[in-house]
Amino acid sequence: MIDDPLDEQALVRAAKGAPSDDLRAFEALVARNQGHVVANCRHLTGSPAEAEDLAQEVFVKAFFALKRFEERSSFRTWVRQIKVNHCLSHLTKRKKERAVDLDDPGVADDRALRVEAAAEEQLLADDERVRIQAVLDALGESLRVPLVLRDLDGLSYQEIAEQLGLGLSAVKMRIKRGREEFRRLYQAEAGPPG
Amino acid sequence: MAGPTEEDDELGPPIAPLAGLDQEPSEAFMGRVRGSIRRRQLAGEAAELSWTGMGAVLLEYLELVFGALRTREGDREGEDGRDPEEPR
Repeated sequence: MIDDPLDEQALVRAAKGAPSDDLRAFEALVARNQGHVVANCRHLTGSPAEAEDLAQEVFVKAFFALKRFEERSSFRTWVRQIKVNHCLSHLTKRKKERAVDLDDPGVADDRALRVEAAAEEQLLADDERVRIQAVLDALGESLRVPLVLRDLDGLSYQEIAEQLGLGLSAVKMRIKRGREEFRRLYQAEAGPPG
Repeated sequence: MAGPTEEDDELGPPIAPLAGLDQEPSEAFMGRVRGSIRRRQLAGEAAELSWTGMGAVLLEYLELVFGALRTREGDREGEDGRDPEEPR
């Protein structure tokens, strides 16, 4: 993937100025960012099955909002904001549909157990990347979302607090706990040393 | 976007590799994005057309109503048996 910001700026201008039936410049922007957006959608929602659908909706939203993009940040940062909002609102909707509090530690534990088993199968593939994904999926939502926003998306603690409607200290605590839990599950995945 | 802070001192393996975690979508992904954009564009155009169409129908209807009212007014004046222009 080429990450030349000048090239990206040119692509953004080309996409903005293109007639509505010419999507080539926008598609080039999608191609440069799709891997990151799909991965983050997956890890924010903990759902591999929904990740591509969500990423697709993010890019469609970005396309129709492109004229309003003022280019004060990079295209990637701008799309990240759309993605975070879209995924968080998807999570809220899903929570309502399930009518279950995912912050309930019992639920998180159950998820961890469930996905730990799935992760065990993936260990056979001996693929670090797959293992990281499985471990992330195993984290409860209340720890996973702040962790993904911080360590995958690179949002500041303050930005995460605003996005999630939480206090700064709560965010810091969740990220710290999320990392500890992530490490613990990762090590359990890797098996005992030696 | 902020860089690492003192709160990030627990960074390191396996946390650090998270930042570079990408997942390439299926080959059909770009086609699905394109298709979704085209469908929304078409839906927008159709909605615009239907509003224009509804506006035209409404104008036509109002013209009919006012036309009928004008005709009725003319008929009533004719029934008086007087030339509406003639002074009383």
